[in-house]
Amino acid sequence: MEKEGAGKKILVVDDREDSRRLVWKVLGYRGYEVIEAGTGEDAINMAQSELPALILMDIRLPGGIDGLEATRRIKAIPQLAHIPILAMTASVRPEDMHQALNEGCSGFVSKPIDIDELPKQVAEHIARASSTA
Amino acid sequence: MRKYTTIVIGILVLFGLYLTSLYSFLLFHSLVELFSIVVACSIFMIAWNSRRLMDNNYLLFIGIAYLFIGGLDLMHTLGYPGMSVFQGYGTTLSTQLWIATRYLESLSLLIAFFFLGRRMRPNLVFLSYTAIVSLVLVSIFYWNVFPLTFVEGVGLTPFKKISEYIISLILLGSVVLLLRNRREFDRGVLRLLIAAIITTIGAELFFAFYINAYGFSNLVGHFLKLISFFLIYKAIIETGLTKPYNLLFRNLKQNEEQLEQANVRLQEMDRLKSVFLASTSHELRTPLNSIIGFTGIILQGMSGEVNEEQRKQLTMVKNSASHLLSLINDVLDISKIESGRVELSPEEFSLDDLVREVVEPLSPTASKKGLELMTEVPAGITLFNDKRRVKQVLMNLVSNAVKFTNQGSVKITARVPGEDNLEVRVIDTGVGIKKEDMDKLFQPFQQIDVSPTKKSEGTGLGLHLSKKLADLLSGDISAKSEYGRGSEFTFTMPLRYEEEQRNEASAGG
Repeated sequence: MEKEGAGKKILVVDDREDSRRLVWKVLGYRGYEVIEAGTGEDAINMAQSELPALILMDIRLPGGIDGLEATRRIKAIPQLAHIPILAMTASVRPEDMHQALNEGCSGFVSKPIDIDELPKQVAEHIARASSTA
Repeated sequence: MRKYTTIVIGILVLFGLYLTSLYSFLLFHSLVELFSIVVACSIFMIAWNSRRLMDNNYLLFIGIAYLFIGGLDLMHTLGYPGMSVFQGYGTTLSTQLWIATRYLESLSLLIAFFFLGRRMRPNLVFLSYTAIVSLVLVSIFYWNVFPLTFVEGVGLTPFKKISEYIISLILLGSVVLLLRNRREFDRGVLRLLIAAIITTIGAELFFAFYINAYGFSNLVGHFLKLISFFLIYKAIIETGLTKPYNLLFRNLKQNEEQLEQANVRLQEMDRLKSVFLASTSHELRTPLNSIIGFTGIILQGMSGEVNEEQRKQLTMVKNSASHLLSLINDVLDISKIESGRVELSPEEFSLDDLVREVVEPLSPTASKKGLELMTEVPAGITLFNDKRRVKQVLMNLVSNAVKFTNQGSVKITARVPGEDNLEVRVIDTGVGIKKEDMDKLFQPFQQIDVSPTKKSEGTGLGLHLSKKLADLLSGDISAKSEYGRGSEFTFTMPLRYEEEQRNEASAGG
């Protein structure tokens, strides 16, 4: 049986290795090809070079470019603007969610990640993005 | 503009008074003295009648003193040469009364500082003044022991002249004390009082070297007295009536300002607390992401085969981690509610749907325990409230019921007893609650021992949080129970959430 994620590239952006590995494992198990970035800057570069089907973006990132800024910059690049970005954060404040959606994120994944929900959310957003594209 | 008008009117009044002095010095003198008497009596009336509210005993003391100063000034006016009220005393009578009054005034202005910020018994002060003034009057009118101040054909006696200098020095002393204690006074009041006292000193000096009771320096002296009493009027009567908080209740105003500052600090601390809680929650969730995520991954066999014992142990890790996560969520929720930071987002929803959403996830557990999970909810009840929060409360009540019931049933009933209220009951046939435990039910971390062998696995915050949420939704939760037979929790709330209701509710609580 063909796995649901086969042939689809997911970029996970998080400064914590364990978080990236968790996503890599959960989505990799379903056939996705998961590529990782640890900083906002790497995220922008990899988005351009790898053209992933979806980006999982941690909001709090060290260095000058946090998740929101990285999202803003990726959305500003015409070739990348269509890629759905899911904000991923351990914050539960409603204002943080609003801010993420305002910056162009398509959805929200809260940490601790629900490993059953994450693949569903990812599949749904990829499907939605390809149907509107 | 108004200031200039006042000055122009003032000059006109003074000029008018000067004209009366040309007509009759006695008329001029009587008018000026009457003005100061009226001011003195008014100061007394204001101070005396607000003595129970006033926090400044300096003013109260001055107020009492001025009644007697006004009284003596009246005697001085009546005894003035030419008034022919008191026969056979000559010019010396009115100057004796004058000098006695000025001693009384200047000493009162000095002694008043003793009562600044100290307790005072107004009646005792009143009596003391009555005694002193009676003595002065008797010594002048009856005993004739008060030193002479004026000798016909010679003029002022050395006693009178030296007295005016002494009085000036005492007044100067009171100015110094005023400046030293300026923190205790409103700036405007302080300035007026100092100006009044300095003008009085000026008046005293003119009175020190006048030659006859109708002379020029006497005229200037009385003008200065008039001005000084006008300034006292401005300082105490006008301020006292128009801006009582600057004068009479100054401490009250300062307390209010301190309270405001304290309030600002508290708000800032509250904000910092929220920020701290938000980051704490963030920092706690981040490692939990790994713990919950990877145990899930291993349990689902994504990382290879797991044997039975490993599965058991990993499930315990996962449950503990989930428990920790609910604790974090509950603590965060409670602290948000307590600091009033929860914003409700009311929406229309059907009670039917909500109850279904609550019951569905619990029915597997219920059927595993062999419990009957029943709902008796009339169709068509629509609510307007924060659905997520209402659900949170109901979920807590129903899951508690399922948790604490080992056989029998859990029943959810709903009705609309009034026009605008909803009442939901969760009735179980579970272990029940002992009478002595009922009080602790809604307190945090008060898990009640239901049986010696099994400890419940809740966070210990559930009912506490639910009660707070119910309050927030303008509702309430109550409980009754029979130990060993079952419990019944009643959740009431308005059908329609309205902002005012909540404000009233929080104001009442």
